Amino acid sequence: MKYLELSQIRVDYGEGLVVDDLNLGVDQGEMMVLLGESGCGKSTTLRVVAGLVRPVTGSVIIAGEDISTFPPWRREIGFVFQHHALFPHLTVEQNVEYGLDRRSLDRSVRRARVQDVLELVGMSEFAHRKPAALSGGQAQRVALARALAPSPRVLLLDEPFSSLDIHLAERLREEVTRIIRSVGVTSILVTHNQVEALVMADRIAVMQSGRIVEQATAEGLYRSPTTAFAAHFLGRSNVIYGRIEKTQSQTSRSLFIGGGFRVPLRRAVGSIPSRCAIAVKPEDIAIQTTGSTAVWTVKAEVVRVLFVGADHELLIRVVDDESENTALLRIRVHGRVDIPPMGETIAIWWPEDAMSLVAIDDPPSDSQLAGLS
Amino acid sequence: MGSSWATTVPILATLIVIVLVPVGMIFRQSLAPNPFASDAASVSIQNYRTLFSISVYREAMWRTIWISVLVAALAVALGFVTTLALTAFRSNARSRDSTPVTLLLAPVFAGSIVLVLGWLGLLAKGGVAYSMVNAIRALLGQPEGRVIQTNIAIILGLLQFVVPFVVLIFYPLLNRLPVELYEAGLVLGDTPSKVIRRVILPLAAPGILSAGIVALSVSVAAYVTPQVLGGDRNLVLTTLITQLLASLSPTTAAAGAVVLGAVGLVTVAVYSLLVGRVQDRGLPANAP
Amino acid sequence: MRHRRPKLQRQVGWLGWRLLSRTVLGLAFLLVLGPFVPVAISAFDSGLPGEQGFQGFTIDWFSIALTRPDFQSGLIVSVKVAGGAAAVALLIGVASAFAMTRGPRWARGATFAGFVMSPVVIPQFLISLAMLQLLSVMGVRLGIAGLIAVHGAFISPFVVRAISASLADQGGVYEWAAMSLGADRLKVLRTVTLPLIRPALGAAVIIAFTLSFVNVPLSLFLAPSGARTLPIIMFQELEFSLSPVLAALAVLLAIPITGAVLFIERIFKVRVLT
Repeated sequence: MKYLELSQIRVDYGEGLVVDDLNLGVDQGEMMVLLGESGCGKSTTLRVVAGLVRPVTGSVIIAGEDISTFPPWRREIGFVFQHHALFPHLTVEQNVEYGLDRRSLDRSVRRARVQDVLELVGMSEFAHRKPAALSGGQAQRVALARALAPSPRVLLLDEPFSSLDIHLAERLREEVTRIIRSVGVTSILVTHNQVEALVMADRIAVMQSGRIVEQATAEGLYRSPTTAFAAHFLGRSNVIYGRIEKTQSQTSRSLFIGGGFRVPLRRAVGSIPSRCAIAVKPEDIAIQTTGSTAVWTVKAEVVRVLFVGADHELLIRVVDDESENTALLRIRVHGRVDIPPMGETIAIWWPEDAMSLVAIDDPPSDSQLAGLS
Repeated sequence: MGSSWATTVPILATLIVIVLVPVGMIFRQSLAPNPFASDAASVSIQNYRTLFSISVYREAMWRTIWISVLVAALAVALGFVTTLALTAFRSNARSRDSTPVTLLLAPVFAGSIVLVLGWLGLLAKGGVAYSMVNAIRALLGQPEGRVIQTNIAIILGLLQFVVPFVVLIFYPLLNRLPVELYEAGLVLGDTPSKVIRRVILPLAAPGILSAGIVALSVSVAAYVTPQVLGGDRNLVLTTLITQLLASLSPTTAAAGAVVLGAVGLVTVAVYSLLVGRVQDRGLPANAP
Repeated sequence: MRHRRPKLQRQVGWLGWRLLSRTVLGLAFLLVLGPFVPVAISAFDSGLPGEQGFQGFTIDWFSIALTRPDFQSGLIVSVKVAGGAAAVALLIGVASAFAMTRGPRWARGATFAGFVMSPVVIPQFLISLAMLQLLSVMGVRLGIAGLIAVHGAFISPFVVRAISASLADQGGVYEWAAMSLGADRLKVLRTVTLPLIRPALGAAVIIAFTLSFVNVPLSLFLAPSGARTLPIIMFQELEFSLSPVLAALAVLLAIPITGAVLFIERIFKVRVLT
């Protein structure tokens, strides 16, 4: 049994389910990231754990104790908000001290604790300032200190870096990850930023429309997603819809047909779904050059070339002969190499293990079949 | 885009013409020894002496003070908790239904005549308030009796009139508090009442002061309510002044008016000092 | 699409706070709206004041109220005064609001804001009396013009409050945009600023009109005896009991006024009161 367990959580505001039959388990000391777009229910889920939102059904269990009926002030949970929510009329010190119990801890103990936590987040010199005098990053550090001071059992973070500029967010998230790991507190972080998720998470749970679509470790989810949504959301995979046929040839056991091309697969596929999709990362698709070891290639025409710094991103359209719904693919070419210009026809391929067979929820629309998802 | 100082003229000119000059005149009139003094230079504080020496007059001024302070205190407390009840712990300030608050503002737009008519109905012998007040009197061992033309009536009538002003001041302030402030307090271990005491109350403090000043000044200057509900047996400053005018003591009346004006001036000064602060006292700039 | 978050209160049970807040809320509504009930009842009650209990339904009081000549002339005076006062309040209020948001530096500070809002705390009774004395000493008879001016002055803070939110919100951004597109100051004012505050202005006019219409203390001393406002007429008629004719008149006045104020924000799609 996990340290924190959410079972069959359902939240309904009367306009449709916001969280739909959600089950989530987090190990003690683990950093779990809920990843999804705005409105997918991830923030609501967080607030269910905190007790700020009461679900229609479902339970929240921490360390074996069912806290579903506990009000938020009894749950011993820390919460870091998107816009710090520091109390404007209190100093940094007073903010951090806020959650410490006045009755059971006397002043000197509280003071010492506040100082320790402030030092942990690197804000000791700002102890006497008011929140209005802090920058965004500084304020979030204090918010973290405030949440950690009462030694919560679980730490919740609601898009804590979304309101900061990119460079600051990057620096801060590394520091925050370090701090949280050093404290060892079980944490759930909610974000829509996939890089953040990859960097910070032990495990990632991808959410869509109130449900968890898939959850795995960061690397596992990135490299081998099993759902089309996760594949697309994390790593911006190309998702190509099609079908699989069994073959009896010597070199392959099955054949994927879709997107205007055919790819022979060495792996055997068990029960064949009539419709399925494969996901390939843009950086895994290679352009055939002389001396490459491709067993098969697909012909494609370069539609657009984008320079994005470390890489070039090319948008290419498959031009195979059996053209119905030819796929539009995104590929990434790293470094200073010759980039085929717009209009040129190239041959592409990818290693079989870079290709994941992903499950799709609904029958794909026509545009999805064309690989335009 | 800056406009010229011309836009400041209307209010300043108005204040001078409508406030400074007339009040200055009343002040001078209050210093005249008798109504028929043709000598403009004669100055005397006789009128003030009269005002403060006659017990009925002193009673009126004292009644004004204690009733206004009581009404202001009650109105601020009631108005504050009421506004809290409508805004606390709730998210989405923008889409909030404003009907309940607007209903609470009804007395301001109904006018004191309608309000006073209503209290006459409630406080008359068959009325609901009549029964309630007498029930309380019975509990306190006091005899039953009429409620109209008593201090209680004045207090109730003023309360109904003043509470909406207080709500009008508190609502924009409290409505803008981001719900995350409440949430933070709750998660950090405080019950709702504690959150209000430790977080909301300090943040609302300048608003409370401001509302208190307005409540005080509206109560002190009220006329219709104390006149109809208090009558001639329970005079306050304003009704005293009209009495003095009616009994042809315009200079004493002027003195009374100056006292009223003095109270008004003090409240204006304090209020002016606070208004800017209340408006400036924003909350965190990045509050959603 | 962002989901609306429901009220916390409904989500988690908090006995103490809910009890207190609901009780106080109930008390406040009772206090604030309660007194309107006997007025409404008495307006339809065929019994006279002093007779306890509801005697019978009638609309006679209404027909009396509608046909009394002094009420009718009072109504006309009140409408004239209120209309004029609204105009004056707009003039002063708009000017002050502009001064506070786009005027010289000293006008944007707390002191000037204090002056602008001061009529709220200046005793109307006192000014009414003082103006009367001043005018009689000066031997001037202003008629309702004086009344209009004074009403307008005291109502102007509400106008300022109503439109300064709109003015501040726009934050000059749209004006800068217009100027960068080549519009001169006057054109910006005409085509950008004024249209943006028009809904707030509309609401402000209604608020100003209403506040002037129901005002008593200012009209008390300054309304000329030949041209008394309706509230003054009502006040002078008011003896120490609830006259049903007055009650009927009050009901007749209350309905349009309440309607206007309750829905002002919805009609004009702007927040001026809250």
